[in-house]
Amino acid sequence: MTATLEELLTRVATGDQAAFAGLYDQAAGRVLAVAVRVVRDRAQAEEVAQEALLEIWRTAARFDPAKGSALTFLLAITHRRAVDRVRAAQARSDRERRVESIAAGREFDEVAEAAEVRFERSQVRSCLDALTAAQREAITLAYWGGRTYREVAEVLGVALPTIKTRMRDGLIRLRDCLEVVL
Amino acid sequence: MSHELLAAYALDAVDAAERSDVERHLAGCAECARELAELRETLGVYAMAEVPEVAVPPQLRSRILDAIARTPQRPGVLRTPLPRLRLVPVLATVVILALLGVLIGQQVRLAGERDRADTIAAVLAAPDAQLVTVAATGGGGVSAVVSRQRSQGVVTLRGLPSGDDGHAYQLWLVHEGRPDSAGVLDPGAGDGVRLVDDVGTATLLGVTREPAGGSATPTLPMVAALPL
Repeated sequence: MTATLEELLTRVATGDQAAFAGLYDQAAGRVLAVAVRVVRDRAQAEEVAQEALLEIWRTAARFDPAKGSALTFLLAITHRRAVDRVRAAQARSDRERRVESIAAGREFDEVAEAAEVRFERSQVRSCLDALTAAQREAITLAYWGGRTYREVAEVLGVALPTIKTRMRDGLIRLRDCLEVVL
Repeated sequence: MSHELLAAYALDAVDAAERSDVERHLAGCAECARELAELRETLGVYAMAEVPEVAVPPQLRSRILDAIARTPQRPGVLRTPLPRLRLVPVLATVVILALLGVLIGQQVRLAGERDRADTIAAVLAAPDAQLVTVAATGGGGVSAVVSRQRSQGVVTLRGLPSGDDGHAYQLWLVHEGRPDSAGVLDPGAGDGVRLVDDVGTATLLGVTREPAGGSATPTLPMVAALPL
């Protein structure tokens, strides 16, 4: 019986290096996947994944299973690191060059997925269809594009309050839908 | 204002200044912290559905495992969810107890003054002393060195807006959502050091702006909230 990510992360908080190795084996592929989707550069995504995993090791004591899943904890740290990287000026110009030349997330071999993951994915897709196109666009530009809401507003040519509302309403609608279907 | 930014914050779509504004707001708003946790959970599921898991280059594993073996961990000071403050009506008993406290305090003050410096030094030197520091809303900062063993802390306010003589900063220790006064600064003072007793299992140290002399219950929002 393999330990759950929650069990492993709780042990990591006590300085357990073997538990961290177990956590790495279960989650590193997802951490790297998020990093590469945001940063869009293989070498930089590996650096971001490494920074994020080190931060997870250092701050594991902040994980509270009552507030969310271990995977969410991992991905929130990874996403923030990736976004910080994208916002660094040098990274941005490199990235813009690369976006034109590569298809996002296709630089690494994909791993075969369990049926359960495929099911979850199809459910999330159907929930995304329940969002308005404008809400989806705002969330995608921010989350995967690494843009601030101000930049998203500028790109789309809409007012700041409108963008904040789209992000909030979109996420809440997604949350409510996922609650029902998952 | 900060609340409107919660979704953008969850998406990491705010700039550095807004990020710290939201984080300060979250420290005093348990409802917002709960909403943020839900939005993050939603984004976690979303992210997993949107990207395929990728194969990790094998050399990354040993590089990271070597790195963590050399990296110290941080204590989990922010681990417990921040308690929700409940405002209770001012009860007559609370007022009477507070008055009694003032009377007793006046009698022991002279003797106490001699020991105060020694006690502060002992708290700072306690083997389990932990330092927590936050920026205060409106400027300045608050830091606390707390020893659970001694159940005491030393709280330092530095550079808070000093305001008028009709108001004073008051300290609160929050146990299980219940705030207890932990001392009032001099009217108009934006700087000061206070020794705090009966820290016990308090999870939060708060600073509020109150009418001079202090209040029986905190006036929200807090100027600063330090997770202990």
